[in-house]
Parts: sequence; C-alpha cells; structure tokens
Amino acid sequence: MKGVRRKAQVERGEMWKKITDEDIREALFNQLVQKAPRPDRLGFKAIMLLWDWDSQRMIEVVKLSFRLAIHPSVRKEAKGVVILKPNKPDYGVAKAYSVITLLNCLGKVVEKVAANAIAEECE
Amino acid sequence: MKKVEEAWGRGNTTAVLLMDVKGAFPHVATGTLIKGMEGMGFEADLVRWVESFMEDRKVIMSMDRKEGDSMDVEMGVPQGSPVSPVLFVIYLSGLFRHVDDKEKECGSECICFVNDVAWVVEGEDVGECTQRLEICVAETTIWANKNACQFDIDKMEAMLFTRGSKNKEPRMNARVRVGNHNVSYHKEAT
Repeated sequence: MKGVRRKAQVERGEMWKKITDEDIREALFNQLVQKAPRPDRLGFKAIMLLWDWDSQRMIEVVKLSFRLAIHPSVRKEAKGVVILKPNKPDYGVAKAYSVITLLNCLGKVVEKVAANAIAEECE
Repeated sequence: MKKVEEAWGRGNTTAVLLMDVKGAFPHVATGTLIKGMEGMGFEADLVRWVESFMEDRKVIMSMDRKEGDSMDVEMGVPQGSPVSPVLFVIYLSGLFRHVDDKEKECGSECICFVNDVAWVVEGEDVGECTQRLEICVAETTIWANKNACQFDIDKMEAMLFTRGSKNKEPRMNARVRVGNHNVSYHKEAT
C-alpha cells in the first residue's frame, strides 16, 4: 500500500487509547453545519444523522484511523474552487482571484480530534 | 505590552519587528514537521498519523463549474482543515528554538499568531534594539532558507517604544536592515 512508506517504527504509540467517545462526538457536533462538503458531497448534517443511527461504527472508524496511523486517501483529496475577489479593477491578473478549499467532512472530524490531541499533549 | 512597561521601568527601550510568513500553510515541509514533532515527544501513533495526513494529498481545481484533473500536492497543510493551524505552529516552533539557541543573552521574545510573527527586544537605546532585531532577522533568515520557508519582506513592520526625550536623534534615522532591504520604525509610542 502506498500509504505506508518509510520508517516502519516498532513503537505503536498510546495516543489512540486516550480518545474517548465524547471527544469524537464533540469534534463532530462542533463543526459548522453550513460548510460546503466535498468531494463526496457528504455534509456534516448527513454525518450527524449517521451518528444518531450508528455512532459506535463511526467511533470505531475514527479510532482505527489513529491506531493504524493512516489517514485514508479519500480524505486527502481537496477541491480547490477558484472564486473572483469582489471589486477588483483588473480580472486579468491572478491576484484578483482566490481559492477556497473544500475537504471531506468525515476527514475533518478525524482532523479535529487530532488537533485536540496535539493541543492537549502540548500542555 | 507588559514587557514594554517593564522595560520603561528599567529606563530601556523596546523594539518590535512584525514579520509575515509568505504562503504559510502551503509551504510546510513534511520532513521538518515530523522531525519537530518527534523532538517534542509526541506519541508515535499521532506523529505517524500526521505523516499519513501530509503525504499523497491531491487537489482538483475548479473554475466556473469546470473541473480540472486531479493533481498531486507535494507539500503543505491544506487550508480549511482543523489540524492545519496547530501543525503550522509546531512547524514554526523550530524557528523559535533555533533563534533561542543562537541568541540566549539577547533576551528576545517572540509572539506568534498563526502566520504573523513578532520579535520583541529590549535594549538601552535604539541602536542596541536595532542590533538585536537584526540578529533575530538574520537567524530567522538562516532557518527559513534551511526549511524552504519565506518571509514577506515588503510586509515587515517595525515599532519602537521609547520613553522620555533622550536619544531622540538616532531614532529618527534608525533602520532595521533585512538583507539589502531597510525597515524604518514608523510608529512610536512615547
């Protein structure tokens, strides 16, 4: 598999054991619902509904991501949408445009958990 | 601000240099970040997850609803991901350690807000402050070159906090040299 190259470290790390179900729930429900999902079109609203339906499976998916230390490639494909900046005199130059990045929403939940874990270890 | 007042209490001058990291997120180098995380003692599974998060990223550009082909992204953390800001700070922390090691006695302090970096130094007069800021900038440049990181020279700003009217003369002409670029102090609080 392409995801695992370099440094096959023996030590597995203990961080994934510290993740609680509540951490994951919080990471999901603190996301901004109206954010545009991409590229699979699965938005936070849909994921929140899925949570009510089968939260255990989602918790396992998130924990497994850290236990195996793999962020699957479907969550690493971004969509860059080029938009015009308003009120620019010349739209022939690149500076009159900006790019917004749309990311996979379930990936963002995992990333939020990671961000919290990093912040916690820093303290 | 507290530091400025303390310096005033000692009859000293404080100078601040604001720098802006150019193209912050897209320029984070995976190797530097991973090495930094290992050095800081993060759990191995978290470090390896970050490594996995960083590699084999892809992007599809879209304009007027037309999509381009999927392209590989060689480096950088993505805009819009919740981990990106914290990873960027870890990445930049290598810079602070580098400058600290080089200039312990100069007592510079760094304040950082995502991609804005501010160096704060204290000195007896403007000349001393300037000299210290220049050391900070020189060390920053050394680190930046080593880590494929760039600072936006045009956006640099310098500020001076002095008290009393002594050494007013040199202050007006003082410049912080950054390579072959001069940054003058443009705001003063007296």
